[in-house]
Amino acid sequence: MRAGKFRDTLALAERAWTVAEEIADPVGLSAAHRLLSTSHRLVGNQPEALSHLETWQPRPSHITDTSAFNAGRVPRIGRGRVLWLLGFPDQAVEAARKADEEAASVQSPVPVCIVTIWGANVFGWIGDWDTVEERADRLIAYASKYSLAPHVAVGHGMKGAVLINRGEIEPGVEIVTGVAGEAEGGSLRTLYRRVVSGLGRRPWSERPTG
Amino acid sequence: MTALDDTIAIANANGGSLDLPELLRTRGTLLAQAGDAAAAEENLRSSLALARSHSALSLQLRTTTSLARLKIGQGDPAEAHATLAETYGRFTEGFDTADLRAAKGLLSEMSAASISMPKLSSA
Repeated sequence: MRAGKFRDTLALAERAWTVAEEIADPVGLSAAHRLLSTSHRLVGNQPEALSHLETWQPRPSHITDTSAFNAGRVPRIGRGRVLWLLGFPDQAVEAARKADEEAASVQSPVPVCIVTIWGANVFGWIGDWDTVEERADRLIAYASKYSLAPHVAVGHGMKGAVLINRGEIEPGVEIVTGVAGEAEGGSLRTLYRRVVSGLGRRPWSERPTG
Repeated sequence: MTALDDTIAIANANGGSLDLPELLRTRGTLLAQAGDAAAAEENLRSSLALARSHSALSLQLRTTTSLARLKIGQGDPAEAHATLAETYGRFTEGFDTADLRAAKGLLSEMSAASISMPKLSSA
């Protein structure tokens, strides 16, 4: 997945589904639904991605790994992104806010940071840059409290993207490139590039192109 | 532009990705700004075809808006207006978001321009 070979990711997810079904393992089936949803979203099959998100019923009692980010603990994290792509911006915002609540209930700092970051994309896509900035400030403060330096760097990158989208191109680019090394060096390379480039890709449709 | 070309090439080599419609649209708008209208249109139409195959209505709206801007600049907005109107008409929510406001504004602008323009048959 991190190498960008999403077709291979989808093939592995389908294999995981087959194995889980053969051994009738509910935890495996739940994980396969999540993998299939992510894989379909990444290759561009958005209806299938949403379908797997809708049918995926995570079993919190089986999710005991609290050491790092586990998407199984915040199952709505991808919903906002898929809903926006499918053309439901209002429902996407609602899903991003529900994911915030879900992450807060987990009471573990990494999921809170990741959900804050992913949700920012949805607000950027709808043009709500005040909320993106508020989320960046919240992320920086929260991640600093837990010494999560790469997540702090992502927060600064988000603020740089806000500046770019407000027309302050040079200072924005300086921030985005300046903190990239710190974010990427801390194993958040893929996340940083995807989130910040997604935010930085302003709605060019508002610009004259002729 | 080089970074964009490289990223698009990698995504294509890997069998595609959800980012390709936006990458192609971005390349199309940059080409339009550089004055290469033919290459711009080719990229925008590829972006639109992919976004449709992904059922990504929000990306279709962005690309049809960019395409309409390009065609306005070329003085040939009729088809782009119809495509943009059809895409905008498929939305059932989100009318206060940036992309939908931009599309609606452009549709109004194009309608006003077509009313004020003389018909070809009477020109």
